Amino acid sequence: MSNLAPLDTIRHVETPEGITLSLRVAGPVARALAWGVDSLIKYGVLWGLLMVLMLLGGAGLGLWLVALFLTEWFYPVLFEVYADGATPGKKVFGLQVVHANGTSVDWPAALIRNLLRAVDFLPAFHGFGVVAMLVSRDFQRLGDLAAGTMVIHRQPPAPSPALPPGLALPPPWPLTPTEQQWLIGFAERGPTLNPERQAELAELLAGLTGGLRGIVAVERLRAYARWLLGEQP
Amino acid sequence: MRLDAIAVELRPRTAWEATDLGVAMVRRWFGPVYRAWFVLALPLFLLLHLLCWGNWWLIPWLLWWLKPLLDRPPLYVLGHALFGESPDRRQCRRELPGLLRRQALAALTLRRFDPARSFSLPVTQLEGLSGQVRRQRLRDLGRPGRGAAIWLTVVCAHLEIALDFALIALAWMLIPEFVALEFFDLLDDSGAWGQLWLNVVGFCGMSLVEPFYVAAGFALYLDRRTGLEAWDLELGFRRLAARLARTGRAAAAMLLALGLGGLAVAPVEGFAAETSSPAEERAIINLSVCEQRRAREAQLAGSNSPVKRTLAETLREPELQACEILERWRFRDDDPPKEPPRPRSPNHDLARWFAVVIEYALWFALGVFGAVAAWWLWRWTPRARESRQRRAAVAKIPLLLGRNEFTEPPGAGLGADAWRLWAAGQPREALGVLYRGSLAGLATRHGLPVSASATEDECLRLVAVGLADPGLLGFFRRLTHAWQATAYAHRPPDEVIARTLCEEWPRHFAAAGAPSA
Repeated sequence: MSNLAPLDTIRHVETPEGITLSLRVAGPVARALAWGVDSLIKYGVLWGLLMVLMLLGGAGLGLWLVALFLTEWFYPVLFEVYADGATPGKKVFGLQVVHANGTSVDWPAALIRNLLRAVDFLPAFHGFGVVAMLVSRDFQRLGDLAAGTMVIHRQPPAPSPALPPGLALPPPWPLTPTEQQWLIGFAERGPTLNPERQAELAELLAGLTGGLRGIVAVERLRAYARWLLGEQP
Repeated sequence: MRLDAIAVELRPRTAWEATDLGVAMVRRWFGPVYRAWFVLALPLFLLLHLLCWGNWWLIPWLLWWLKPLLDRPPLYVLGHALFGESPDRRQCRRELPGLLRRQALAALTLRRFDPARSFSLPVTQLEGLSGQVRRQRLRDLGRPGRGAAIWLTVVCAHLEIALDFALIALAWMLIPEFVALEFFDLLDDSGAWGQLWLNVVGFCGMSLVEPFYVAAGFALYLDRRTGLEAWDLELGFRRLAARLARTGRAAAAMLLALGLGGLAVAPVEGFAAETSSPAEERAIINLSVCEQRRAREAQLAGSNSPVKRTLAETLREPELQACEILERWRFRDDDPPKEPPRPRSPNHDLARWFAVVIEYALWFALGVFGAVAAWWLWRWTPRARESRQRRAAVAKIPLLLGRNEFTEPPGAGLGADAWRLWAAGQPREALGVLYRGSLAGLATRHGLPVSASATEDECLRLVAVGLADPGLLGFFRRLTHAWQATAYAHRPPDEVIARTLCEEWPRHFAAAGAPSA
C-alpha cells in the first residue's frame, strides 16, 4: 500500500507550454445536489409555464410539450456551452464541466454528454450514471466518458487571510517552493489553531528556528513567512 | 498515529472535495472495505430472516434501524488502511464484538436520527469518546463538516432509493417477455416471495451505498481535523526538518568553502577563518563542532575590532545557541587509527573543484585536438580529395533541376556541364540537366508551348508535330529514352551514348540560330 501515491482527487493536466494544471475532480455528492437544484429550477419554470399556457387550451398544451422537450434536452447544453460550463445548479456548488484536458467544454462535447443522460438514466433514476461515477477514475458518468469531459470544482478553498504586520526575517536556509508554502500556510492558518498546537508545530522546525521554543518559535516562523511573502526585513 | 504513513494527500479541501476523497478511499480499498461490510451485514441479513420468520416486511426496517452498527466494520478498516495497514477478514471478525458493543444502545436510540451520523461516528469509534466529552469534541469539530455531513446523508438516502428502483428496473429489463410480469408486479409486496425479493433488492442497494456513505463521512471528519490541527503542515514540517537535518551539514560545508555571506552561523565561521593564524586554525579543527563554535566565539570576543566583539555577543544570545553536546560511551576499538589531520586551507574544497574543472577541460581540449587532426588527415587521402573535387564540379553547374517553368534559354555550356556530372558519377542528374535544358530550349528558342505538366511522351509528340526537323526529333527521342531509362528504371545508357548526347546537345539547342536540317 505504501508504495502507492497518496490518495487524492486531483487530475494533473500538462499544457503544451509545459505547465501542469491541477484539476480538482468533483464527485457524486456535490453533483447530485447540483442536479437537484437544476431540477428544481427546470421544473419550477415548466410548472409556471404550464399554468400560463393552460389558458390557451389544447394549443397551449402543445406549446408546453415543445417547451418541455427543449428544456429537457437543451437546458444543460446551453448553460454548459455559454455559461462557463456550469448550469445554475453547478454554479451554486462551484462546479464546472471541462474537457478531460482542462479546456472549456464546446458544443459537440456538451451535446454528447447531455444526450447520453438518457443512457445514464437507465435502468431507472440514473442507476448506471451513479455506478459509473462511483467506479470511474475521474467520477465520470457514461455521458462524460463518451464526450471526454469531466466535472471539476472551480472555486478554490477559502482564501487565506492576510498576516498581521510584524518582523520579517529571511529563513537561514534556502527552501523549496513547497516548503515555503508550508511556512506561509502555517503563518496564515495560525488563527485557526490553538496556541499550544502552533508551538508544537513550530518546535518541529528546530533546524530553522535554531531550537527556539514556544511562542518565540511561532513568531520566528511567522517572520520567515512575512519575508517569503515579500515584506522587507 | 503516524502522520508520515498516511495514505491520503493532506491539503485544505472544501467539504465537497472531502466527500469525493471518501469515494476515492472506498475505490482504493474496495476489497477490504466490502469484506468488512459483508462480515457483519450478510450474516445479520440472514439471521433477521430466521428471527422474523413470516414477518418479512419487518426485516428492511430492522436492517435500516441497525445501520449505525453496520457502519462500524467498514470504518474500522478505513481507519487502519489510512495508516498503511488493512486488516483482513479474520481480524475484522475478532474485533467485531468490541466494535459493536461500544455505545451501541445510544447509537440505536438517541442518536439514531442524528442527521450527521457518518460524521460523528469516527469520534465515537476511533477516538472512543462518550458523553459530555464527545459532545464537546463534536462542537469543536464544528459546523462546516457537520453541515456537509447532513447533506451527505440526504444525498445517500436518495441514492439508495434510486438504486433500489434501478435494480428492480434492471431485473425487469432482463426478464424475457414470455414471462408475463409487469414492472409493477416486481414492486408487489403482498406475497411472501414478493416481500423476500424486495428485501434482497433493498439489501443490495444498501450495500452499494453504505460503505461510500461511511467513507465520505470519515473523509469529512479527516478534513476537519486536518484543518483544525494542521496535519498537512505537521507532515510538511516533519519532512522539512528531516531534509534540513540531512542537508544541513553539507550545506554548511559548502557555504564555508564558497565564503557566502549573510546567513546565520556558517558565514561567521568563514569570516573568522580568514583572520586566524594557521596554527590556531589547526587547533580549532581538531575540536568537535560545538567546541569549534565556542572557540570561535572566544576568538571573536578577544579581537580588537568592535564589529567582531558585537558579533560574539550576538552569537551568545540564547536564540543562537543551537549547540548541544551529547556524550556516550563506545568501544575504543571502534575508533579508527588516528592520522594526524593534514592542514586544510579553508579554500580546500574550492581548490579541489577548480582542479576537477580544469582537468575535465584539459581532457576535452585533447579530445577536440585529436578529432581535428583525424579529420585533417582524412581530408588529404586520395579518396576524400576525389569526392571533394567531384562535389565542387557539381556545385558549379547552374542546375535546371526542380524548375517548372522554362522562361530562360539554356546556356551553351550545358552539354559540357552534363558531361561533367556524368563523369562525377551522377548519370541521373546529368541526363536530367540535359533533358530539362532541351525543354527550356524548345520553349524559348523554338517557341513550343511546353507546359509544366506535360509528360515525356507529350513533349515528344509536340516536337514531332510542331517542328519539321527530323534531326532534332531523332536526337530528342534518343535523349528522352535515355532519360526515362535512367530516371525510372535506374538503367543509365552506355557511356558512349551519353557522351554523344552531351556532345550533340549544343548543336540542336544551344546557339541562337539553331541549325535546322
